[in-house]
Amino acid sequence: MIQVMVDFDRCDANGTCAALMPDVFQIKADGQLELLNAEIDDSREGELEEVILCCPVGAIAHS
Amino acid sequence: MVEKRDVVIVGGSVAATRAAEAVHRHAPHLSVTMVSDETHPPHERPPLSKVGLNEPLEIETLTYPTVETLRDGGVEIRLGTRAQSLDPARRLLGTTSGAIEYGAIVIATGCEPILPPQFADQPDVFILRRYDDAVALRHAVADPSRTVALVGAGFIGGEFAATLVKEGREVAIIDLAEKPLGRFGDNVADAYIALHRDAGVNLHLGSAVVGTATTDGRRHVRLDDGSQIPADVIVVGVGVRPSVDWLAESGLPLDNGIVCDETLRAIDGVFAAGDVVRWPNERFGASMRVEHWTNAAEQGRVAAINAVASILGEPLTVCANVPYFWSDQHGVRIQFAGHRYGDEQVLERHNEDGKLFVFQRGDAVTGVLAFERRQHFARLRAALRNELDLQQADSILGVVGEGSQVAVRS
Ligand SMILES: Cc1cc2nc3c(=O)[nH]c(=O)nc-3n(C[C@H](O)[C@H](O)[C@H](O)COP(=O)(O)OP(=O)(O)OC[C@H]3O[C@@H](n4cnc5c(N)ncnc54)[C@H](O)[C@@H]3O)c2cc1C
Repeated sequence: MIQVMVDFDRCDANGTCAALMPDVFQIKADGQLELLNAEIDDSREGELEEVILCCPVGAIAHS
Repeated sequence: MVEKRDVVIVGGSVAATRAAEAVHRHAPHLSVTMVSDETHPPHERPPLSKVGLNEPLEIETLTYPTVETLRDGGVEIRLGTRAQSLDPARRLLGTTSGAIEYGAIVIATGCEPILPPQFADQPDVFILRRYDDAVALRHAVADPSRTVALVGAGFIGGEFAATLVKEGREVAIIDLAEKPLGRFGDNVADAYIALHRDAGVNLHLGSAVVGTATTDGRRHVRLDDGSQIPADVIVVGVGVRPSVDWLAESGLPLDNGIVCDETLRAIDGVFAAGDVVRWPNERFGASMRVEHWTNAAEQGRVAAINAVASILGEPLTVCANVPYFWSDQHGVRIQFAGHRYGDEQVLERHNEDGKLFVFQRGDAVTGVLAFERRQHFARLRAALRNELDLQQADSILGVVGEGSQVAVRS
């Protein structure tokens, strides 16, 4: 399993993560980001890599 | 002696940085050199128009944190070096600091602002693309008594106008077009106009600048309707063009950008990423060039993965993304996802939280543009990765609420 980490101090709720992995990240009704799943399967490493590289404020990391 | 590298990346901004990161992750054993004509290390551009005039704008803060990781990992970042020529047959890049032979190359030279000749020789005229542009512009407008005219009502003009208005500054936006952001249709334009008018921006739309006049040291621009707009400082944001002049003799296919295939390959061993690329996006069945940050990040990654694959003889990955941008103006986030063909119907799905426009073509929803409405927008953007029809889009809009467990259809 891969641990997903969000730096909420940096997070700007851009939502690119929520568009690329909607079952892991979500924009809530108040416009803020919520991490739905802090652990994902190893098979999704590529998807998470894309999310990490496409976060405009560099707020996402993994174990 | 010609230097040799496995992967060479040309450019020093987001697409180039993401490309370097992807090579480093996927094939750490390959040697990588980044060649950038900037003197600053790779850094974020979006804050350059958004950060408040009284807030610090420091290159250290803007620099991508991964620059350090890359350097530690052995990626060479050669700053102040310009790529001047490419010989794809010999796999040779000519630069101002000598030639480099490559196994594969990723070109990420982006775009540069257009400065119409009528402004070229004037003092206190600014474009806004690079960090040094932003520093010079902020210096020029620091004295609150100086008046500012923005030529071009697009994102650069709109964002910098918002940054000035926030400090209570008088600001004018001038645009040739009656309808700013015109490619999204009249209704979006009207919402954009209202946003700026309500915030106190003086809009002069459908107006051409015919000249400037300076009296007692104060400059005005003259418009074709006879009006005079105070303009001690002029900011020109009328668009950008791909930085491809250096490739004129290379034989690469050039047509408003570097023409690539669906894997971002221009020809053997040559890949490209970001604002500089025109490619066929299979998701939308259209050839496009996208001038936004997220596309550059995504393509930097894909182009680099493919550059590595071409060296290792592995299959290439297709780039079929959902183009996206965001822009922050007057405290409102404007976002678009999808592709605008130009012949869609524009449907309105507004509510008290903001305006949301759905672009429909036949049965398919092909794009969404929202003012705020962040939760709805994010869900529709996710859904747009696959074919989407209006009923599906409306059900996403209709049933989403706080804490609801509605899955996005895909
Ligand atoms: C002020 C501003 C605000 C923005 N805000 C947003 C926003 O809110 N949302 C959004 O989606 N997008 C935004 N953008 C757009 C976004 O920044 C661009 O889409 C993105 O920078 C494109 O990245 P790129 O790497 O493809 O090209 P560029 O950023 O254009 O970088 C090209 C790089 O190549 C280098 N280069 C060029 N020619 C050569 C050469 N011959 N040799 C060596 N190096 C060369 C350049 O110096 C530069 O480092 C903004 C842009 C600006 C300027």
